[in-house]
Amino acid sequence: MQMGMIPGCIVEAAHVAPAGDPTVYRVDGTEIALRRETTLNITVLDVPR
Amino acid sequence: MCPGKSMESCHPSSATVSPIINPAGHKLVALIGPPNTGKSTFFNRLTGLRQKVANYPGVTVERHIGTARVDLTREVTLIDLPGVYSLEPRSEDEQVTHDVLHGKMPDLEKPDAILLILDSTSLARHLMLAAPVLSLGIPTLVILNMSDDLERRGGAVDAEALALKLGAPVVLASAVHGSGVEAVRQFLAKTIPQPERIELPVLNNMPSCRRWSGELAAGSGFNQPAPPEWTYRLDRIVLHPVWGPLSFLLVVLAVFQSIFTFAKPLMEMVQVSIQTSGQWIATLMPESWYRDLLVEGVWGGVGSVIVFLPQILILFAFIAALEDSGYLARAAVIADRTMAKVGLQGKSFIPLLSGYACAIPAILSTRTIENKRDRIATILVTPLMTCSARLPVYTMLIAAFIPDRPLLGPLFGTRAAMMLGLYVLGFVAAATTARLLKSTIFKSEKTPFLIELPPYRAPRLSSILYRLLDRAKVFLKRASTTILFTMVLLWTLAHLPLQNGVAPAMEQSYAGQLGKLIEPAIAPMGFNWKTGVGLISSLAAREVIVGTLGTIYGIQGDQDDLGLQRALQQDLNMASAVALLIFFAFALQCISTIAVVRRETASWKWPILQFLYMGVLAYVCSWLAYIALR
Repeated sequence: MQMGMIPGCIVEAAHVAPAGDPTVYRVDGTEIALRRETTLNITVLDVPR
Repeated sequence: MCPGKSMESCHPSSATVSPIINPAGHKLVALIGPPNTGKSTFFNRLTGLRQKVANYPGVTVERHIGTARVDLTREVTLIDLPGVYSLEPRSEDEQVTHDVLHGKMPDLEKPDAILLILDSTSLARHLMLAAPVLSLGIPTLVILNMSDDLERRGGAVDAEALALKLGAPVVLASAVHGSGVEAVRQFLAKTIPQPERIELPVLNNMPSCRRWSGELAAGSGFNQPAPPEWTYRLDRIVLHPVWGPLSFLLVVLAVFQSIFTFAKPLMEMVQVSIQTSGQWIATLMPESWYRDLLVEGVWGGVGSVIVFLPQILILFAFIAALEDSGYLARAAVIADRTMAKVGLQGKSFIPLLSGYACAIPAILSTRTIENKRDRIATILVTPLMTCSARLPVYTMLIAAFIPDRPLLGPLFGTRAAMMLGLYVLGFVAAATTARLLKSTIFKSEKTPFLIELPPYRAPRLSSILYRLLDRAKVFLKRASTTILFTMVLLWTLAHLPLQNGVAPAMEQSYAGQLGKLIEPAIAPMGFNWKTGVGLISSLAAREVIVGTLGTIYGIQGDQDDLGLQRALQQDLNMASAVALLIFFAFALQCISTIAVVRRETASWKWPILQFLYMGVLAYVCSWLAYIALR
């Protein structure tokens, strides 16, 4: 959350690691890598670009 | 890696002694900020010290102390702290920052002033830290670092407007280029305009904190910079399913080949100068035991280790370039899947990777791992990674036993391949051990893996050169203490007891007897008593064996490197040489590592367990390799 992943923020998936996990997300002007198991705790809604 | 002041941690004595803090009773100034915002770069600018800086979050894991000059008459004591996202600590490095700020460090008072360093390109988010820091009530200067980056990417911010809204002075700075340093001195000298203090809202939940900081930034003319396009482009290659791993492999192959190719002429130069100076000293002195000690023991023994300095520096130059560019964080992402399979988290990857340089700073860097069990597991497997002290041993044995043939064209040969194989072996052993530990004694809940990927930056030559210089100092310090001491002791043991006033044959000397004593234990691996003496002496530090064998085989200043290789070929064959390589890949022969593991885990249990485990692993694998190849 302190890195900017807070409820209501807009997340963009940028890269997936060659092995399929983790994924690099663009959030709040930075890039954060998260494992799939971690992202399961996050609910995402589709936002039109 | 251990450049800067942290290099002292490469030496056992400073692993236990804490430095005298604030001896002159100066005012204390603390550097606070999120990770990877340039706190240490500022610290180095202000103090003239050379704390390690690199482009990934979590480089600084301890507090570092230095003195900064304010003006002609005044000085302050500056404390560099690990980066934090908030004032609630989650890991041990963040705890350090928390304790210093609240005056809970036993040997350190509460700071008199704070330099809050934020990354100006991420201002809207980083300002979240401003509210809790400013409400500590300590005079604070807010430094918006990397302003050159902000400008280049078309961003902007009005520092004066922000200062009024925060109730604290704000300056734009670029620590790398030195801009903003003067403003920091003015702040410390209390000559900077101080806006009226205002009460900032105390917000307990993250979304409202973020909203507050976003509004604050927007209200201060903050213009979000354009995204770092180059970083995005590079990452499309680096994290690509095919090009990513391929480029990683290419980088690794290039490193290993250059360890051999580029290093060779440099190593020959060092070799020649050591030989020439040894011969010159020999002519200056009368024939006596002390001349022999100096020429054979010190020059021959320590010299044969120093020859490897260029090779180690080339390895470090590569590592420094990778760290400064920001590639390391990407490597952690690529490797995370593998790490997850062995039960470790991605954050363990950076300590493991820096274990390729030296296990000691690598063990210190595990402080960024929040989960205690994960941290100890990482500490226990880190020494299996091939540290640079193994490089001389590997090079010596490979040069003597592996014929040099081109493998992948003329650029990648058999010797480099063998070397790479040993490095991979170390990693496999570390991963397997981690798996074993995590499925038995260190079972734990999966911890979330989070790493922030910094934008790529071009590595700066001066930064790399400084780190090489520091590394060379560490290496020479080791050579002039641990290695020198062991070599003198060994030379003495090899020349006693005197028989009729003369030194005995090597086999009858104390050193020889010691080797004979353990010969039955090491005979199954094809080693004789001479190798045994080498193994015993290498308990102090791995590279000592090179010097020891040099002394045992009577290699003196007048013989060239081939002399030692030929002598080795008489006593070892291919199978036992490989067995010896494997022994060195696994055994924990490093007093400094044992000392630092004991300090970091606060018990003797872990270093003892680690020493025994690695010893047994080394013995068994080395024996199996000998049987298989015989």
